[in-house]
Amino acid sequence: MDEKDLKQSKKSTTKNDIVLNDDDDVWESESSPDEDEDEDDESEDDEEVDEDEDDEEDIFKNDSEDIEDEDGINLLTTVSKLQSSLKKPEKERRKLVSEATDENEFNLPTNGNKLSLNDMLAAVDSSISKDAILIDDDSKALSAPLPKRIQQRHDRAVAYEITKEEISKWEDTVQQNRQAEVLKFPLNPTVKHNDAATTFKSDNVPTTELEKKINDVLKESALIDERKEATFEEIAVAKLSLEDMQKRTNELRLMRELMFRDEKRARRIKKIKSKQFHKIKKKERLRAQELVEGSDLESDGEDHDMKRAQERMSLKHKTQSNWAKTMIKSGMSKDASSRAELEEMLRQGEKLRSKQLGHEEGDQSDDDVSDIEKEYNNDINNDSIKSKLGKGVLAMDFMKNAEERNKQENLKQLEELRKLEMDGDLQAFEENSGIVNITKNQGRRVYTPSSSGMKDDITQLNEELREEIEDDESKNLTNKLSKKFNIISSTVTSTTTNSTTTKDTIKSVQSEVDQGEEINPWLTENSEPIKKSHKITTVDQDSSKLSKAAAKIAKKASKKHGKKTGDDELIDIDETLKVLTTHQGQDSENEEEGEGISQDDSKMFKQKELIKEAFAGDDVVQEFEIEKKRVARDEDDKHEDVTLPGWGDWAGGSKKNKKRKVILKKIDGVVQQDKRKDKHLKNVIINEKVNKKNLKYQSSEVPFPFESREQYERSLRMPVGQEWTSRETHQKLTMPRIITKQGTVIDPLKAPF
Amino acid sequence: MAPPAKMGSIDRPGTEKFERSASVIAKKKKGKYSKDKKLNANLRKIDHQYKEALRSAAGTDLLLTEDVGFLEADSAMEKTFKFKQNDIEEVLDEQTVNKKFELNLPKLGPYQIDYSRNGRDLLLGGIKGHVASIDWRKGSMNCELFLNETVHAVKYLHNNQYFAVAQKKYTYIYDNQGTELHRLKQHVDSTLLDFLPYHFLLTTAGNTGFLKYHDVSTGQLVSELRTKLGPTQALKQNPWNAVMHLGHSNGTVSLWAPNMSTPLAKILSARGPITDLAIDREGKYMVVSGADKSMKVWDLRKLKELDHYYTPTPAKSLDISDTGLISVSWGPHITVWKDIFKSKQSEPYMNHLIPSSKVERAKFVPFEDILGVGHSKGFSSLVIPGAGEANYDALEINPYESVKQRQQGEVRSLMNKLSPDTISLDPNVIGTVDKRASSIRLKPGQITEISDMSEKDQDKLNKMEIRPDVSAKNSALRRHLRKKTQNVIDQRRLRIERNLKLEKELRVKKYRQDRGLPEEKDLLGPALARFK
Repeated sequence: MDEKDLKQSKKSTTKNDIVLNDDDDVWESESSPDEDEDEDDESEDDEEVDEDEDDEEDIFKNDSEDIEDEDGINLLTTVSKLQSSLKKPEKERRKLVSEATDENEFNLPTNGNKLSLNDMLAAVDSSISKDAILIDDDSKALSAPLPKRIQQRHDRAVAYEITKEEISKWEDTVQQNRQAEVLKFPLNPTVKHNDAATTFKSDNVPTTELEKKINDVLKESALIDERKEATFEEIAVAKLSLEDMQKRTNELRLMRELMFRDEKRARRIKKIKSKQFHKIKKKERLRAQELVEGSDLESDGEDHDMKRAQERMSLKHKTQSNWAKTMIKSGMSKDASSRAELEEMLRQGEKLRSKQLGHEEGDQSDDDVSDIEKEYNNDINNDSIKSKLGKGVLAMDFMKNAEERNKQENLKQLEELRKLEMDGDLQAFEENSGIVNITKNQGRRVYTPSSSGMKDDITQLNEELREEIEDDESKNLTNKLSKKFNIISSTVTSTTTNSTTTKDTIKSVQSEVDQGEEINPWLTENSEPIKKSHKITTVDQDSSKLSKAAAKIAKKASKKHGKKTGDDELIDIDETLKVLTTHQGQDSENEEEGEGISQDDSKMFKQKELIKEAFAGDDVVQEFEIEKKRVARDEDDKHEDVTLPGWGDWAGGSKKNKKRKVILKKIDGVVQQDKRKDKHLKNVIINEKVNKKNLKYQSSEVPFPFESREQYERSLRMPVGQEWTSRETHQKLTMPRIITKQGTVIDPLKAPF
Repeated sequence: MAPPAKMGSIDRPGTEKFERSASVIAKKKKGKYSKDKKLNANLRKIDHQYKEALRSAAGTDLLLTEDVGFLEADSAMEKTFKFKQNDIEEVLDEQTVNKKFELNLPKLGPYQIDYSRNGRDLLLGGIKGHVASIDWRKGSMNCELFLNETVHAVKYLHNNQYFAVAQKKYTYIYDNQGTELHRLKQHVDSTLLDFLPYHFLLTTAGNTGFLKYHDVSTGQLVSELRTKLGPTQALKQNPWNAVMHLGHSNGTVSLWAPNMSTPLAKILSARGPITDLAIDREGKYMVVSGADKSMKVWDLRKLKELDHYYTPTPAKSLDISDTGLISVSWGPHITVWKDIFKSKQSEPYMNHLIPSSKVERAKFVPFEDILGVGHSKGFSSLVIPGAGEANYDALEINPYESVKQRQQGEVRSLMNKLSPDTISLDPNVIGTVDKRASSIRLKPGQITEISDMSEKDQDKLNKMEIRPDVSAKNSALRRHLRKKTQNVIDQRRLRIERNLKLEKELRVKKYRQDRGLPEEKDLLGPALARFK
C-alpha cells in the first residue's frame, strides 16, 4: 500500500509540475499573498484571497480523498492546491501613492511604516540580516593589490611559459631547416606527374560523359562484373598456403621438365633410322597394347559382351546383311560416308574371324620374322637346287659371296631377335648401346656436348640395367627385390639426377685414370722440347776445335749470367750516359780499381778527375759553404753590448774594477742558427725571411668557429673548383643554400601539429 | 688486388690517389673533434663531404679512356734504346707518322723552339733572325719573320695568338700574324724567356743578371730582381708553384718569386756553370745539368739530391715530359730516360742522333708522343712512345679547341688571373693561418699599410690619368704626347688626345666652380652631349 501511495504522489507531483509550467494564470495566483498587506486593493483581490484560503483547505481534503478512494483524482484541484502550497517570491505590485501629509523637507514619505534603528542596523550588522556587509565578523580585510610592475612581471612569466610551450613545437622543424644543406622553396612541392601519355590507367574509372554512359549501361546489363575475374584468381591463390604454392609450382616444374625430356627423347628416337630398332620398338608397343587390351577383356567382360551383342544385332561384320546388300545394290558404295561404313564393317568382320581362328593381333609381326626364317630354312634346302641351276650372274662367285655375307648378317640379327624374344630385352641392351652410332648417313656429325652426353647416358644406363638384371638373376629373391627397388628409384623418379651422376661417374673414372698415369698431357707436351734443348755435350780431347770453342763461350756466358753483369756488357758506351751513384763516393771507386774493372770505368774516373782539375780555379763549393755560413750568421739573433764605459766607476780612480758587468741586448734575427731548415741539407741555402707580401693571403688568427689551426686547415683541404673536383662534387658544394622557384608563392612555415 | 667495395658503401677502390694530406686532428672520442656541438657537427660534415668528393673523383677514373703506352722490349736481350726512329716508323699508324717530320733550315740556325700550351703550334727561332710560327700538324704557317737581328729565345704567351721574342737588345711581342705589338724596352739584353700562364707574367733573364717579371695582361713591369750572380744560364719555371728557377755560372740554381728581392732558395748543383735545368709537371723533381758534365736529379720537396749522372759532354738541353720522360741532349745526341725519378737507371729509354748537327733545344709536345728538337740545321720531331699525357682536360687546355673556345678560354683565364704576390715556395700556405709567433705577427694596420702602399705605387706607375687639378703644362698626358714622336698616329695617341681634351674641359669646369661662377649650360642636353 505504501509503495503505491508513493508512486501516486510522485505521479501527482510530476503532473503538477507540468501543469505549473503550462499555466498562464500564474501571475494572478502568485500575486495573491500580497493582498493582506495592501489595504487599498480592489475588492476582486479580496475575493481571490478567499478563494486561496479555500484552496488550502481543499488540499487537505483532497489528500484525505486520495487516501480514501484511489480511482478519482481531481487534477485541477490538486494543481491549484500545490500552487498555493509552494512559497512564491513576493512580487511588487504597482501602487497608487496618495500622501495626505504636508510636504516638508524633513517629512519623507514612509508609506505608513515607521523607520526604526533596527531597520537601519539591518543594513550594517550581519547578525541581524544576512545581506549586511559592513559589520561582518567572519570577513577579513582584502589584501592590497600588487604593485603594477610586479603584477606585470608575473604576467610576463606566465606568458613566457605559455609561449615557450607554443614555440617549442616548432623546434624540430626549425632545427631541421637550419641543418639542411640546401633548402628548396616551396618546401614540400606537390609532385604533379602528367602520366597520361606514358602510362596506362590501371583502374578504368570513366572520366568523360560518354564513358560514364557506356559504363552505366554495361553495369545495368550486368556485362561488367569487376569482381568476377579478380576474385576468381584471388580465391584460387588465396586458399593455397605458401608451402602448397611452392609444392604446386615444383610439381608443375617437374612435369614440364619431364615433358621436355620425353619430347627430346622422342625426337632422338625418331631420328634413328635402323629398321631393326623400330621393329623391336613396334613389337614392344604392340605387346604393351595387347596387355592393356587383355586386361580390358578380363576386367570388364560385361562390356565386351555388350559389344558383341551390338555387333551381332547390327551384323556389321557381314557383307551378307540386308543393309549391306542394299547398299551395294544401290551403288551407294561409291558414296564416301557409306563406303567408309562398309569398310569399317568389313574390318570388324576380319577381326572377328581372326579371333575365331585363335590368332591375336600382335602375332602378325611374329610371322614376319618367322617368314624370313622360313625362307632361310627353305634356302638351306634349296641350296642344292640353286647350285644345280647355276646360271647367269647369280651363279657367279662374287654374287654368291655377297649373298652369303648378307645371309650371315641377317641370321645374326635373327638370332639376336630370337634371344630378345626369349629373355626379354636383356640382350638388346648389350649391343644396342651403339645404336646411336649406327646411323647410315653420317652426313653431319653432332659435336654438341648434349648429344654426346646423352649417348653416354644411354650407354651408361643400359649397362647398369643389364648388370642389375644379371645380378638379379644370379642372386636370391630378397636381393633381387631390394635391387629392383633401387633401380626404379634411381632411374625412374629422377632422370635429372641420374644423368648428372652418370656424368660424374664418368668424370671420376677419368680422373682416376689420370691419377694412375700422373701425367698431364699438356704438361708432357710442353716439357718435352725443353728437355730436348738441354743437350749435354761432352768435350773431350778428341773433339773438334769448334766444339771446344763453343763450350768455352757457353761457360763464359753461364758465368756471366750467374753474376748478372751481362746487362752492362750490352750497353753501347758511346750511346749511354756514364753512371756513378753519389752514394758510392770514393770508396766504391777504390774498390772498383782494386778489382781491376774494365777500361771504360777507369776512363770515367780519369774524366772526373779532369773535371775536378778543370774547375779547381773557381772553388764554387767552398764559396757556397762560406755563403751559407754567412747567411746563417747574418740571420741569427744578435747580441749588442750596451754597457756604457765608465758607468759605475769612480772617476779618477786608478783601481781596476774587477767585476765588470756586461749588459747585452738581444736583437732578434730571422732565425736561429740551430733552427735553420737547411741545417742538415748539403749544398742548399733556404731563405727564411718572411715574405711580407704573402702575409695578406694568410690569416693572422684562426677564424671564429674553429678552435685550432688543424681544424681550420682541414676545412680548407678540399678545393671546390671544377678543375680539381668532379662535376658532381663541384655542383654539390657550390649549390646555394636557398633555392627558390621563380613564380611560385612561398607560404610561411605551416605548423606541424 | 683490393677486395671490391660493398654496394652502397662510401668506399670505392682507387680513392687513395685523390687523397689530400692534412694535419690530423686528434679526436677525443670516435667522431668527436671538439666540445662545441655545432663545430663538431660542422667538422663531421666537412669530413663527409671530403669522403664523398674522393669517391666521386675516383669514379671519374672511368672517363680516362686513353692509356700511356711505352716501348717494351720482348726479352732481356732486346733493348728499347736500340730501336731507331725508322724501326718505329714501320709499325706506327699513318697519323703518327705524319707527325714526324723534319725541317731543313741550314742557313739561319741553330734554332730555339717553343710549343703553345696546347701543343698545336710550334714557334721556331733561328739565331740569325728567322722566326716562324707554324701549325705543325696541319703544316700551315701562321707567320714568318726575318728580323735581321739575333734571336736568343722565343716563347708563346697564354695561347698561340701572341709570342715573345728575345732579340739582340730588347724583347718584343708579336701577334699571330707577325705584327710587332710591343717592344719591351725594360727587358734589355735578355736571352731567356718564360711565361707563367696563370699569372700572365712574362719572365726574362739574360746577360744583365736581372730577372724581370712583366704582366702581359696589364702591360706593367711587376718586378725586377737583381740576382747578383752574373749572366743567367738557364731559366725555367716550376709549374706547381710558379717559382722561377735560374741557373747561374757558379753552379748554383736559385729560386725566385716576384715579391722577394732575395732568392727563396739556392742550390749548388754543379762545379761549373749550369747549362740547363728542367722541372717536372708536379713540381716534385728537378734535373740540372752543368758544364762539369754532371746531371743531377733533385727532389724539390726536400731539396735533396736524388741521383747523380754524368754526360759524355755537357748537356745542352733538358726537358721533362708530362709522363716523366726526360730528354737529355748534347752535341748531336738526344737520349730519353724513363723512370729516372724512381730509381737509378743504367740505360736510356730511347736515343737518337742527328748527324753533323748540334742540338740547341729539345722539347716534348704537350699531349703528343713527340719530341721536337731544334738544332743547328733546322728542326726535327721524333716519336717517343709514351711521352704525352693521354687524357687531356678540355676545360683546362684543349688541344682541339675551336676559335670560340680559345677566345672564351682566354677571357676565363684572365678573370682567374692570380696576383703575382701569391707566388711562394709552398702555394698551400695561402688561406692558412700564419704559423709564426704572435709577437712577430704584423698588426692588422700594418698589413693594410702594405697593401695600401702597393696601390699607391700602382698609382704612381699609372701616370696617364685624367687630373683636372694640375696645370695644363704639367699634365702627364701632355708630357707624354710631347715626348712621343710627333708624326706617329696610332690608337694610343688618339686615346691620349681624347683624354687630354676631356681633361681640359674638366679643368675649365673646376676653375669655374672654384670661382663660384655658374655652370655653363649644356645646350644640347645630356642625351645629345655625346655627339659634340
